[in-house]
Amino acid sequence: MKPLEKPSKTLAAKLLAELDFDNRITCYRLHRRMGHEMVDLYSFEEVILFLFHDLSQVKIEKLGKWIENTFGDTELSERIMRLDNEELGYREKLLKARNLMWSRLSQCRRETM
Amino acid sequence: MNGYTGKILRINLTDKKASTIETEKYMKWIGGHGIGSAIFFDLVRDKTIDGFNPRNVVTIMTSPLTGTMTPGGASRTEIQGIGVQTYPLGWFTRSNIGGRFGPMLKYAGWDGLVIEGKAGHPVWIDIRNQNVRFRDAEGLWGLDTWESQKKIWKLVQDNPISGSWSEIGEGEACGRTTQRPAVMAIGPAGENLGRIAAIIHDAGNASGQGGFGGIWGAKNLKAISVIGTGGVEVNDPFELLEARAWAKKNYMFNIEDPSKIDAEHSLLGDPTVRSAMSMAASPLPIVFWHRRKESRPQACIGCPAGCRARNDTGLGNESACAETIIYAYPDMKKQSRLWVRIACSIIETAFDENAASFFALSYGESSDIAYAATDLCQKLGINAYEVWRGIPYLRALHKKGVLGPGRQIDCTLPFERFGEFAFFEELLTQMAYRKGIGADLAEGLVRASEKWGRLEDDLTSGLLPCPYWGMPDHYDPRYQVEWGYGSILGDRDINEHDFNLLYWMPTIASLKGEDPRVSAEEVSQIFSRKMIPFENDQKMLDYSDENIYSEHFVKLVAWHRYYTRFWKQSALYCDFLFPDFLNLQTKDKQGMLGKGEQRFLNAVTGKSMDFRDGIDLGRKIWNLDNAIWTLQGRHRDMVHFAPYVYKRSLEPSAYMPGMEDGKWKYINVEGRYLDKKKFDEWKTLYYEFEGWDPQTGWPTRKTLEFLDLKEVADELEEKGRVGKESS
Repeated sequence: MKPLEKPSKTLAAKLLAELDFDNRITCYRLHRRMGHEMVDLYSFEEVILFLFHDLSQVKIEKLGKWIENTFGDTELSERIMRLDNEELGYREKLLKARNLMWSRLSQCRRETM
Repeated sequence: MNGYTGKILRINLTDKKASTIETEKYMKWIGGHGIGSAIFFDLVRDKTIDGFNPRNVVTIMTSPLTGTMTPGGASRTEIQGIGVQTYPLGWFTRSNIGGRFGPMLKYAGWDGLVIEGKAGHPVWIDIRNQNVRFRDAEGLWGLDTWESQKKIWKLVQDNPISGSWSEIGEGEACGRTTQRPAVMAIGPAGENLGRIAAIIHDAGNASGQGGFGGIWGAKNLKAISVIGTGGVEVNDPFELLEARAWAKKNYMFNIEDPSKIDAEHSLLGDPTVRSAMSMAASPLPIVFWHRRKESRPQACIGCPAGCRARNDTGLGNESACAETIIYAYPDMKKQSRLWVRIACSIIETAFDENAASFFALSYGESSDIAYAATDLCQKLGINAYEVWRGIPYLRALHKKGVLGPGRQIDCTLPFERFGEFAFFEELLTQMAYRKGIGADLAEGLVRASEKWGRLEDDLTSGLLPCPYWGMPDHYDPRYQVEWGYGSILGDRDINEHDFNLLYWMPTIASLKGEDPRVSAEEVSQIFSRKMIPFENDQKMLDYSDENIYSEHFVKLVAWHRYYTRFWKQSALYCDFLFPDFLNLQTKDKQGMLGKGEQRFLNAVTGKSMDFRDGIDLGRKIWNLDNAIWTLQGRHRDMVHFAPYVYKRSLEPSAYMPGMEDGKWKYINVEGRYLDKKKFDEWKTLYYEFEGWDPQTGWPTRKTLEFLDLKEVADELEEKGRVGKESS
């Protein structure tokens, strides 16, 4: 898979920042015997960590739009939203989205070091 | 008296007197909830009193199965009384607790306890076989629930060495035992009259819902300790063991190769995502922190489920389910940040999927903080569910800028330390001792939100997910509709997982891109055939938008109320194993439901109940409860969900069986919200079905007399709250 372009310092700083209430993303996590848990996530990094849970749920399109609208990371947003068209199961798409985000996070950390 | 001891201990805290109620007087209710409701009805003349009122009566009831070898039926105890947690009114409510207390009570010679009045100063009750003492709790008041229990063990037992013989006084087996007392205790939260205070037994058994911890605090009751040296008389011990062997052979996991059986018979198709909802599953602690390698399942007496764990660290022992998640996520988030930073500093290429996967193995390690947080909640005696749902709500308000030092909702919680133990400790300490913002939170999330002037907005937006009677959301009523309906028609979050499989199986399958193990049509057939006396109506299991407001769905909800009121809350079969609707261990996929329940009960009692008898008795108990709520002030106009259930669409995917274009399939109900008008119309159908006045929801004399509840009808009439008969 083609690597992401190096982010600007400005973009990197945005992606690493904590978010306020209005910019949060609401995702869902399933628990045995407890159903869905609504989880508000307040940073790019927090979403990545959240997606490691094997029963986490967020719409791919919603995730992509959140990245575009909140951080302005068009490249990452488009790469994630394209996953919806792939012939993959939902969980596989989510893992790919997570890994793309993880890669971006790594770039941001290096950029701000 | 097979299964029974014949005596219920009546404890008058005001007069410090103990007396006896003959169980025979209430034996027609069998046990547990049925007996509790009947005794409450008889003893509490004014049902409009507040739960903190000394005249509130708390019943603690076992069943004939308690203390026997019935699998999944030997250890539960039902606690009832006017609660203080629900909003706007504290309904007559129930809680249920596992562990050793119920069996030990039977071994001491008691079928249950009735607690009334209020002691003049803090006391604890010391029950040793038939000897009952009111003891001064001065040295206990102020201690947490674990410290209290340990101290009581030393006070009761002359030999503090665990497992050694001790003499407890007169009784069977010469009054000697190697067991330690079974103690239920309240902590600081209960002492400070928290509406969300729990009663804790051993390390992790809790009576969480209803606020009974605060009710005991109001009564100056710190703890009840019981130790017994007797046994439980069983009518046909051979048949009981035969029944257990039959259940094990035909419905439970095969111990020869449990992992293989789990893979084959896991209804969720993935042994790592087992729900332990199936009788066929091997023991699996239901814990939500990442389980330590050095841990083992722990079970109540006679139960094969093993839903709790004991850990090598001694942390988190015996806690399960929601108790284990209260701080697991913030802890994981904080811990895993370290790994993410390390990973990022090592990953050299811009995108390396393998490296990311490698570090994924390191993700999600729960530190001791998650376990210690759970233990703190148990020690302070706080309802874990309120804490779990409360933490994200508080965090959201902080992020909104309305909660924090000097803000509109002033508080000193150290949000900069969110995810650390310090934050959690400060929050729970404030709740337990009503300090700072804890004074509001001790009243429950909904009352706190009301005080902050946010309730209407937050229940409309869903920021505060409390859909029914001010209780936190469990299974969303927008997909698990029968759960929502049962909760709002009753007194609390029902916490009855009987139909969750219908959601879990297809929803997990869709996440994995697989087909569910059993089709929608087949599952609806299997379920409906077991739902006597409505077994011919397969559409009961149709969760489509049209059908959830239908008469078919009325029957589903009614059956669920009757089954749980009797078989689970009165006979006291555990929610973890019962009902066994669908079981892949069997050739026809039919579970033990409708065969096992009565077999064990009859083996113990010598009765000849059939499954339908239990359903009918459940209907009677449900009607008695509705009569009590009616006397408390209920009217159908109050019976509505929080606004967000009617206004906001369900966001995540959730699949339920239903019919579309005449065919059964699993329907994705994402986007659904309940229609308030249609729900109101459905309530009319429901009330008419039950024989209640559709204008008010009150039971009618005709229905109550049909159910042999004439005296209940008389009291309703006396209070001007009997339902009008339909003309």
